Amino acid sequence: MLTVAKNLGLMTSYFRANLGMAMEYRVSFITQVLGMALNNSLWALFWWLFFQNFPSIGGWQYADLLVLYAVVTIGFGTAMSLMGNCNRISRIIAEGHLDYYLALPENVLIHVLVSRMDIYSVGDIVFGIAVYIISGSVSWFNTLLLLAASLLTAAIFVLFAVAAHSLTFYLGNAETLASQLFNALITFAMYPTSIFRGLARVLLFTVLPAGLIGLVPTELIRGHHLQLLAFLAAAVLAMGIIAVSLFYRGLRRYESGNLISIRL
Amino acid sequence: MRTDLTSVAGRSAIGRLWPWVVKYPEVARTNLQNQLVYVFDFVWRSIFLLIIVYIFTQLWRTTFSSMGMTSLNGYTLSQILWYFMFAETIVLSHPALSDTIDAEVKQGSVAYALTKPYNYVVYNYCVFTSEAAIRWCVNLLIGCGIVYAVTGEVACSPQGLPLILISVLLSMSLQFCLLMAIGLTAFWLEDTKAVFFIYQKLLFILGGMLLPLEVYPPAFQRLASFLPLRFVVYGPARLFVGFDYHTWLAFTAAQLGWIFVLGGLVALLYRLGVKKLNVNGG
Repeated sequence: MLTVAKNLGLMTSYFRANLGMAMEYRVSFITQVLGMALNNSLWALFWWLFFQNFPSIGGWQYADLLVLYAVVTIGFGTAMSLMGNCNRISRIIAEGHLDYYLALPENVLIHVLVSRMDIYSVGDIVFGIAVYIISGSVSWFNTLLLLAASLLTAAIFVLFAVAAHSLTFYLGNAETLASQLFNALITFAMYPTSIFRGLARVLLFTVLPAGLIGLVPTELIRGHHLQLLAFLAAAVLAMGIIAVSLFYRGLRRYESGNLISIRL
Repeated sequence: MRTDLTSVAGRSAIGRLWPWVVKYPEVARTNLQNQLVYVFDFVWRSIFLLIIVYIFTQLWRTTFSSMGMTSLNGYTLSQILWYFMFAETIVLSHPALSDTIDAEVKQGSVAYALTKPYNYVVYNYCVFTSEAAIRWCVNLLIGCGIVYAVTGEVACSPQGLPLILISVLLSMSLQFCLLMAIGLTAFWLEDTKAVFFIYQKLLFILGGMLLPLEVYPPAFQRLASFLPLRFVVYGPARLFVGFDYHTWLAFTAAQLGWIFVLGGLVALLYRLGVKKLNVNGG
């Protein structure tokens, strides 16, 4: 319990410091946030145009897609705001910057993850909240479900990135491979899962868990199937065990490059 | 791979025109050779093309079957997939030019380029088009393989291919002007990434990458007709699945017109930007 509180404290301190740094350039921060929200809005526009021609795709309507976008963007935004280093782990390992984290009395993985914030991702959260409001699904209960589903989705994004980038411990610099896997996860998650069938559908719930990010939370909010929330939480737990094991087993193979680096 | 441009200049005797005839093609040729070294890296990066073509195949198959359609605004399912693949290869082939310019402006390394015996914009054009050409060839080969495997037929117009190649080259030039203009805004903005992301999505939608423009409501078609984006993607992709000479001629004239206008804009932005440049230290 004490460890959890300590890690939460570390996360909060870094978040405050990162946000403070971003707010130092206030105009740039606001421009980037609004720019990202506008960028996402153009995706919503594409789907609006698509659904103008075809009212339903495999049982999905435009409102369902907006809920999907709300969950995915809030989840992604939360993941990258709190743990923005998750997609840079390969580089940190390959360039020997892990030495810095190993020398400090904090949880290595959590410290690596929280020490960077992706400013653009705040725009994803703003967009996610906006599309949730216009999706027509707003209620107190749905908002609670959205919050829970988005947090679990954020955890899936981070854990998947940790697992993919930990391959660098085993394969050498796996940055390109990990980036391709992460991009594939996001890409598949942003389309109605009902269009995928057979083996592709199985893969989307196992190797590349885009179904857990897209379909499960959307069905949870659309149909109030609370067992799906439990299923999602169990999936996050399983992914957590795999990702953390991969990282710490890999860490045993890590060799310092005697690189002297300065963190400002 | 290194070529001594000075010696090339020394050998040439065509006066003021020599840079255009010798130097810049030499820059393009050198960069092309450099890029050929990384051809397998491009193949590796084509995995995204595989994924996105697969997703759109599933999307269009589900849509056609759930709506009971055999064609959409004149496009059959196969044509739509070939169209999408071709459009995607154009979009995926451009190097991250605006990022490069943005970084050079912010780090001040653009100042070094000013002292070199070449025009910064034309030099970047040669580098951009040579790299984009290699990427496009790799993407097209892989894309054709994927769509053929999925559809089992070739729903494109091979008779127009030589002229379509010209359309693609002009599309790359147009894309260069747009990306260069975005990159050069770094002289005034702190970060151009947000502008690039918005441009990219506009290219996806109003450029006709995700959907052929005929599918849009009339108001959007009219909006797209005022912009150059449709000549970057929609024009070449439309010709690829249904070539006709008169349409090609109209598209080519429009592409040249837009290149002229946007090329002027880039030259203006560059001149204004360089005046704002402050270099501190060495």
